Amino acid sequence: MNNSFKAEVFQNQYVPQGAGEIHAIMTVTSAEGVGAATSMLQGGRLFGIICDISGSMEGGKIIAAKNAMVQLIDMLPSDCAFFVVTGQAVGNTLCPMMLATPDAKARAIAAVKQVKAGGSTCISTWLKAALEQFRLAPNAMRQALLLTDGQNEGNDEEPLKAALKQCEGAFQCDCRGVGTDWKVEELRRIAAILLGTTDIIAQPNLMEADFKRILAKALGKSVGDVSLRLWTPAGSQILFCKQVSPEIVDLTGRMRQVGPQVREYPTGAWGKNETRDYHFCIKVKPGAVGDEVLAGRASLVYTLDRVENKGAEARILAIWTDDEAKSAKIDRVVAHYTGQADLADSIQQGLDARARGDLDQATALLGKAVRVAHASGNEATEKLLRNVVDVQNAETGTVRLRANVAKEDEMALNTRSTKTTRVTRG
Amino acid sequence: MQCPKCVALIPDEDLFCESCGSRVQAEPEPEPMAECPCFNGVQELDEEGFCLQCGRRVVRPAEDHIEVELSPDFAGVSDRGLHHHSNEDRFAIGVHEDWRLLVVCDGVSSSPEADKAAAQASQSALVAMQTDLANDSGALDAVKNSVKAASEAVAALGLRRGEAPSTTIVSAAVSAQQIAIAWIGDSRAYWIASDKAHQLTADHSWLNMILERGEVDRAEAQRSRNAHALTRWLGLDSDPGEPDTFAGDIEREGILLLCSDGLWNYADTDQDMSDLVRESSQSADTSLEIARHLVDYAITQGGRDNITAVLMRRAEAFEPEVPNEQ
Repeated sequence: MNNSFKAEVFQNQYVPQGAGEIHAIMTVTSAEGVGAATSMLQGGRLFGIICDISGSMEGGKIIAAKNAMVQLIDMLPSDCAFFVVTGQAVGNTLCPMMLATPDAKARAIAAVKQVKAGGSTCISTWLKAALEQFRLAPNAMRQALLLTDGQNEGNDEEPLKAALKQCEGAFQCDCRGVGTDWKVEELRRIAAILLGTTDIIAQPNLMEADFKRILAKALGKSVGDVSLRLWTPAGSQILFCKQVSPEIVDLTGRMRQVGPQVREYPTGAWGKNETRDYHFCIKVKPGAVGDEVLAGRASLVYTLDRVENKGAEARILAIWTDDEAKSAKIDRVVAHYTGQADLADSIQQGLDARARGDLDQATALLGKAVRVAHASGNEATEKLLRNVVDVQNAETGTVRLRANVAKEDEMALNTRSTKTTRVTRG
Repeated sequence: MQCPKCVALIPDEDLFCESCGSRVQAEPEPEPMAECPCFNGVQELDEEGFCLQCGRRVVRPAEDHIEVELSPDFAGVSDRGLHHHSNEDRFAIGVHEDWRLLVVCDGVSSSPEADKAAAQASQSALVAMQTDLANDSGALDAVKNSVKAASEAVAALGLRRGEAPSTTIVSAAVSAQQIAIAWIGDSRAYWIASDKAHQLTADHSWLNMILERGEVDRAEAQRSRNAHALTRWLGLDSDPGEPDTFAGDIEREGILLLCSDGLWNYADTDQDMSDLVRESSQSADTSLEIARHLVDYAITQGGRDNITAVLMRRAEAFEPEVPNEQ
């Protein structure tokens, strides 16, 4: 028996005749003592710092970045290994992997203080340099932080794709963009593949606090490389598998087939008392009225002491009925997250339309976003939306586009559009 | 459990009663090999009986059909019916000295884990009645307290996603001369004697509430979609208040029937119920067989709801058996 993870499924099991699309939300919570105590972590912990030092960083940004790196290194516990990669046209391993002893930290800090900004931005080379370090500790909990302030060079597009493919599964990485000259989609794509978060650091002076938060979160993780395993009946099809809380991450394309009816999706590392929600959409062969079918069995799997552990098993059911009162009911948790995904789409498409100059479309989409954010109690997103539109009526979604919008406000709205609220539950 | 022959209390796992020596359980049958039509053969099943190839449920839960027989005169049957996905009715029957104790609970299907609510309520009510009677309480106090105990047990289930598991309850104690009943909700008790059925309970339903106010006539009220809506139930989301009660002397010969609405929906008037029970009794020797007939009747009529019928039959020669509880 394993009770490191607990799961609960929210769905309306009743399906009308002829239908076969089953939606379910699975809430997974890690227990108090998930995995092992930090010191017992098999293979230890390796934290990588990947920092942009290209020419555009010159001035306040590089000073803040160096400062933040120094603070970060200083904070590292002595049983944690670390490395620093600085990024220009090539990634340079400024400090190779070493344990964070007082001596090692002092040497790393001295090296960081020598860093000068210059050159261009080729993120693929930075990731490859980091990958080399992470490959030295394949059994450690492998996490990184990537900071950049600008767009990747155009000719690095294909190399970046290839590098991401190599890095996928090798380490997790939170991405941060400082200032407003970086591209949200680009960082979001990197973070999505590397199972990390994306956010904007609008002002360099906010960097230090943000870095500390990221490190604290990384150090709180106690079990790594956790996968979501999903069994589905023969002949069925998984239409999508998304993490929907705390933020939306589409895992559909990350599927790994492990058996004829069993697939796995990576979820990265988990800390204790962490809660995440997943939305499954499974298409099964429609049954006859009264038929009851197991549409899915989901569980979390991870390896500890070379033993596969499995927990949080949950069932997704389908029961066909001719009672419309039953089948028409949408589970409120499913409805909530469907709405939150819709909210994220509306914001991203609305900002796109605004950038294209299609103001009618932008007004309609951002208005809809305001309505959904308001109705679902997503106050954080609603507040960010108010920086971009003037809200006349939040309930109906009546808005007017603002004429002068600060670039950082728009980017903050875009990067944080995937953050969801949890539905209130009893 | 209790020995159906001598009513002695024996461990659940025993195959034979140590008091009277009769066999109390059929020999455990070997687990039937599951066959799922998807593969024309034996398939691996998961713990709940789903086929691990096609996902179909191959083994239904045991609660789909429950039968308990404590004596040829005292038994109950509960069935899922045809339309509900699971059986959320539960009943409990037991004995204390010359008292026969009956409880029927109908889990409110719009509430979560209604089956658990009904199971908890019926078991708690039975235990409470036995304890009260053992402490020399009167029968009326015992049935009233049993509803209170059931209410507390259901409340202890707490909320599920903000909603309260809920159930109805009808709780009865009957001896040679007396009968005491307490109820909340629309599960009913009938005394059926001399070809007449007497409904001893009054449903806590919207229909009765409206009729009591005298604002509309019965035919009109019955047409309302709300007619069967419950006005009182056990659950953390409602203060059930004091149960309604019935207490009285009764004729010597007759049948005490407790049932859920899955049965009385197909025999709503006293006359219909009387006819149905008489008809069922004609071809049946025991209370268990009568209960099966009643349940089968509801199923042939459509089985739209879970169906529960619990019967205590008192013949002319009724002599309270002396239970051997040691």
